[in-house]
Amino acid sequence: MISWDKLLVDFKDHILDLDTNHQRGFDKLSPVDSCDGGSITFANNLKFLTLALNSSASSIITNIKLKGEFKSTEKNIVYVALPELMATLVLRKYFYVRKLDQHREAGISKLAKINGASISKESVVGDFSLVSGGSSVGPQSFIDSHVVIGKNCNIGKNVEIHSQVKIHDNTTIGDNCIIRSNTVLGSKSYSNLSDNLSDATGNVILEEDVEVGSNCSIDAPNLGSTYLRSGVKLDNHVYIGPSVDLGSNSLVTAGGHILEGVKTGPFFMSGGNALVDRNLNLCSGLTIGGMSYIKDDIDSPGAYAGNPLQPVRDYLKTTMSITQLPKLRKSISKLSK
Amino acid sequence: MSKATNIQIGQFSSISKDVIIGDGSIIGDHVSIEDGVIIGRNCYVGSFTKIYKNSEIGDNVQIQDFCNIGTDGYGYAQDSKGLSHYTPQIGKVVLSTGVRIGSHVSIDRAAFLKTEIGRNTIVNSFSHIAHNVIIGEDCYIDSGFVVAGSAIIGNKCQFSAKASSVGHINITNEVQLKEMGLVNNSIKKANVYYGHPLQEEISHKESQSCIKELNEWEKTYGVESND
Repeated sequence: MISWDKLLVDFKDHILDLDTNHQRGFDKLSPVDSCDGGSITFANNLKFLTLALNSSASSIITNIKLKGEFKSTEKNIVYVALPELMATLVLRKYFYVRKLDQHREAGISKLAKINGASISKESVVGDFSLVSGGSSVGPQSFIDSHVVIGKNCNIGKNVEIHSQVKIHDNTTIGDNCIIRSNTVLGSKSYSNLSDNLSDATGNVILEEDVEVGSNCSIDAPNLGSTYLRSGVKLDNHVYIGPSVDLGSNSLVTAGGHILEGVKTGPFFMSGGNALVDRNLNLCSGLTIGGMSYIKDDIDSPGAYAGNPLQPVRDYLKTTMSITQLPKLRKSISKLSK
Repeated sequence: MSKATNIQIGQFSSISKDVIIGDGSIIGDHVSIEDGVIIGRNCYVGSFTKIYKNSEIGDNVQIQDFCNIGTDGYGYAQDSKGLSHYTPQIGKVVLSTGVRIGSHVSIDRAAFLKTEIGRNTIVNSFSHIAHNVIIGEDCYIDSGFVVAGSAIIGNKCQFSAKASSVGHINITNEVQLKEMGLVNNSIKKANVYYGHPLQEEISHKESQSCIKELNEWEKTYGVESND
């Protein structure tokens, strides 16, 4: 049970105001539709706040100030600017155990093979994993079972690499990165593969705080590097081509393909199954809708969608127009007679 | 509980603590199964598949090679600077009796509760099922299907290859979604839907025929050249 006072101390920098009606703590963070008496919940709009107030939750995190007759007399209310962020921080602080902490005592498995690599004593390597010569793994890192790490790779501190991940030679992974299962980093792309694989000296560089989903593939070029800058988050089934430079804090959701040589600014965001064609330059602050196809450079920030790509407002009009084409055909036919 | 019999576990597979595997189940090579996973009777788990903690797999479920069952959902909270902070996903995945999963499929575990696939539903290869998604019974989902978080899909739906759906929507029972269909809004009427924008069969065919005629329209009704 987390005490109310502890929450107030731990998150004093986030809390804007309080309505305190009791001193009971909480033992879980729950969504508004599945609370019980031990829950703290969160609401960032009026609909969720109404549900939360009518639920059994003992405490609510919200950004909507309750006044007058709407003020709760039963629940504790924590007012913050960003309820979802606060809920995330509460979850991480009180109710989440990192993989490393779950398996810390295991150390390096006897079934793992370390071929002359340097592994920090504070790190964990799971069963049947292989770390090749010249590679190093920083402190507090967790390498799950069945991971294969090639030669001369640099793995930073506090990194999580899940099962069945393959990391090719010379890959660099910064601090606090997470690589999820069945992902491949540094494979050579067929688009520029020479006959002799040993000619290819390029690599993949992940800066700090990068997260890669499962079943992703991030290709290395023959020469130079593919960069995922700090704070990049990839969903599952994402493909990043060779020589791509994905700007800091970019988000690519499931099925996104970014082909070789693309450079994006910071805060690039793409919806599911989007495709970015080769060798494009994309400005910062760009948002792309699901199933869109980008085939030209973009230098104006904003939200775009569709194929052909258009600003979102125009895209919505165009899609509506497509459904009206049969009526338009009749009208044109009448006019032309 | 009686002791399970006739379980086959392949070479180099790693099975963590508190895992329950039912009678007659087969686990392939290089499989990794985390703590607290429950696998029913007569199941098959293909090689190089990863099953994350607390996943629940019913009887007669087939999971092919290179699948990820219960991986972390793509959940982030943004701060005032737009930086993304990972929201721990503390839910689980539930695969009901008779579910079949193709190879290279990713099914994310829920943020809090469960991501669920109903009885006898088939999910073909390269599909992505995001966190909190609920898929009903007896559905057929073809390869390359991508669905975003918190979508609810009814029973007996059929989705063809490379169909997609946004999250936080409801699709009613017996909906058919044809190739490359993109669901942008909830579907309340059982029917066959096509394309992007999503339309019913007759409307879609009319729109498609018009798009093919656009070139003719230009020639017939003229667009004046600037030259």
